[in-house]
Amino acid sequence: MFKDKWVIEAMKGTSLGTKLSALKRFILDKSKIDDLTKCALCPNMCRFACPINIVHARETTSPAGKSRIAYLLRENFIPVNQDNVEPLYYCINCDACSVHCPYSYSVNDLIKPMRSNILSSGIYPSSINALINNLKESKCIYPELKTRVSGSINNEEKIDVLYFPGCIALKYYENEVMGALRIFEKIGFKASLFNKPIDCGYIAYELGIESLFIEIARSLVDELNKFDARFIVSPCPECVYMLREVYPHYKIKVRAKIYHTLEFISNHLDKLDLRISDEATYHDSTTLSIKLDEPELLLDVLSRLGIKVISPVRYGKNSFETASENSILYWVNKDLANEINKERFNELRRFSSKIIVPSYASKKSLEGFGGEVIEIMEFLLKEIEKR
Amino acid sequence: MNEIKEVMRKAPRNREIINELMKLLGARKVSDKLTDLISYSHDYWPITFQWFLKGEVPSLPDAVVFPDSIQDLIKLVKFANENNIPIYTYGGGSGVLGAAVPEYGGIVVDMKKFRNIEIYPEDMYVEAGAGVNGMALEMFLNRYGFTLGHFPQSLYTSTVGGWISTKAIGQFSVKYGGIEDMLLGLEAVIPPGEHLIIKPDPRAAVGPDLKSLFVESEGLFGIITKAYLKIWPYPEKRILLSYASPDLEDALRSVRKIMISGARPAVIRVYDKVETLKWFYMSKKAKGRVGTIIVIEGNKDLVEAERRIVEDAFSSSIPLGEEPVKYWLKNRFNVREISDYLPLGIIIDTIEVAVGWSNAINLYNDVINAIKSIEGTLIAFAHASHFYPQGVCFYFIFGGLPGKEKGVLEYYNEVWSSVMNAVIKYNGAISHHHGVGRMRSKWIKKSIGESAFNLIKRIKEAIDGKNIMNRGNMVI
Repeated sequence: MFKDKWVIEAMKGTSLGTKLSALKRFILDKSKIDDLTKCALCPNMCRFACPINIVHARETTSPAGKSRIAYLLRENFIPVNQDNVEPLYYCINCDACSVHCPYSYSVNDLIKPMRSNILSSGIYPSSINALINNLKESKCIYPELKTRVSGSINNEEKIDVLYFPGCIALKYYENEVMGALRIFEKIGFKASLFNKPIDCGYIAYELGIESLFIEIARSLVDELNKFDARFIVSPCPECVYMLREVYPHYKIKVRAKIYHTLEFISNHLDKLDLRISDEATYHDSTTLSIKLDEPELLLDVLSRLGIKVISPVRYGKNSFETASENSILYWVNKDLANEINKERFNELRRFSSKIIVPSYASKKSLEGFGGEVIEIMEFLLKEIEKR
Repeated sequence: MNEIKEVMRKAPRNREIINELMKLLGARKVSDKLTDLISYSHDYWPITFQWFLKGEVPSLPDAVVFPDSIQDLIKLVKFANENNIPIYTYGGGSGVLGAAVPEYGGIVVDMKKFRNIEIYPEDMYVEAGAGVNGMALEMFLNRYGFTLGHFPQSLYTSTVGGWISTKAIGQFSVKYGGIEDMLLGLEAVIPPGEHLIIKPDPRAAVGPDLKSLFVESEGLFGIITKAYLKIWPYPEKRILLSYASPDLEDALRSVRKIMISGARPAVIRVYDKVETLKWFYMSKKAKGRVGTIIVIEGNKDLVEAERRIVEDAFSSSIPLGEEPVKYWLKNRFNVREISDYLPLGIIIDTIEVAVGWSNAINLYNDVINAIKSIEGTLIAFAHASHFYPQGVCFYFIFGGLPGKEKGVLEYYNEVWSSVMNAVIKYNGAISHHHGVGRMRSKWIKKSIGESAFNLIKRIKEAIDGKNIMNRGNMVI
């Protein structure tokens, strides 16, 4: 039965003039209401899921709060200046809001066009100057990323897995990255490392700098496609999201099949023949659970290994994302990013001293508060080496 | 470039206080940025969003502060009291009557940094900061095997302090009660700058019940900082039932039977014939009838006993199974009417009232007829969703598209007046759980009587002689 038929019944007894006037608006105007306006008029029903809203705890940077500011800027009700545009950059691009929105809106996606407009006019928070310069000059969030990681890279050689660590892992976790290659060998895949300091363009994309994102993406794909690999595997959910979900929209094609390490390892877990009598809690990356729609993958892998897994309060699609170096917020307000990370760490720490994470970005965000934070491949390698 | 216009502003701008506040609390906790002033200029009063679309707001504060300690609040209240500056307390901003509108400017105090949660499982209560978000609290409790049982439609956006300030109630109220039934104690900072502690006792007969003073006080007496709330074990069993009754009278009679039997299903919702079409769209048998959904939950033995009582009470209605209840459970927080219709010029709002059983049907008929008779009305319907042995809460929903001759505000006020006057005629309560705010203030005296209203004024004067707390609200 037609779900909204009741509205017609509800209008019985209404004067013909009012009815016709309403009908005209439904037919002619309803489709003209844009998504940003709808979000701006919402009572903020997604706010409880937004890490920035919870920790920053201000209306202006709440999800609907940001949409309201974007609406007022767009409609010219308030001037475009550094103060007024700043709230639009208070986002960790986690899309947690979309899970609880009746329209499934990502507030980040709604305000992105506004960011894009104001960026092109050169007005943006001075705090992101460094980030934008890095992206323009180095095609990476870091200036001249100098990694000491080197692999047996031979473009001519046919390989199964090209391991693409992503910028955070290359910068901070060189030993761990090399370890992952040993796991691929162990499960029967010839693997090689991609260690060129090129970003996947995630931040440029989320900031709304489309031309820069496309430039970065093309140069990355040119390099990736030089390898004759069946699979590209990355521990970075954002890299996987970009390569697999976003690039195709821009007709940028990666030849190999793309996997997150968890997805890849999950398919071959039995080959490791591991049974682990350990206890741990875990942090779900929302890029993995929401954007890549894999809300139970980490829990599933850990459970299959025999680990006593203790779920935190927020997990899966309800996870509370950290503010890593590949979030916009990190570059706009590092103190707040750190507070968000500490908040998440403290929640996880309530349940276990060992915290397992699916990505090096999460690991980096949760380190430094005490306790043991370990990325999934690193965890597996340690267990393998214990035997 | 247009300017932001203030529709309700009642005092000149005070640009002097910002420096003083920065000295007092530190620059990090104070803002007079335009974006912040706009964000705190309103709550979720539907008519104000009509203004927002035109770049208008109710009233900008002079400053917004973000305290994170009792000491911050004591300093702030002392400062405001000494300098006669109004203070407006802000939680999740989900109030629908303008109670949080800073109509005299002054200082808006955002309480969302007060978000500590501590569970006391042996004594079955939780200590929650006033700024704790409702859903965050419920998720936290669920993780430890408990529930608060408080599920207002604003659950995902409202805060603990806001619940107390507005006397909120949730969808599962028949079993768990309203916030006043859950509240064991609280802490607040009151003028001229004192920390008030009302400790959590299972019950106390030691002087007047001071915590009640803060329930539905809408920020008039001080800033609530913390609450102690009862908790329950997460229900071990849940039963979903639904029925189609011939008419509203029959359905309400069945519910009354349940209420006076002592059974307490968690949820009972009776929809009038129009709203039944919305929530029971999947059931042909419900068409032309009045639909009721019921959720019974808790201890498995008690739940079974309550099921028998409910089935007996609705024995003359058509049972429709679990489907309509599941549909409601899935969609109950789906709030999109304002987003969908306001940009079309259609004003939508809800009015919740309470009335005794003896006047329930007459009140329902009078209100629906009154709203429908107002030119511009498109829809008017209702459900009853909170019940007591003594009576019922009706939740009226209306939508209108006033023509060119009548402005939106004029239409809106006309509807509100007609409903308020009908409720007063039947000696009902003009608000069941949304509160008074700016919208209902002109009817408060008529509703509670002059002597009760005067007593509130005297209490207000005794606590807050300079009237700094939520100045202008309830016209006190």
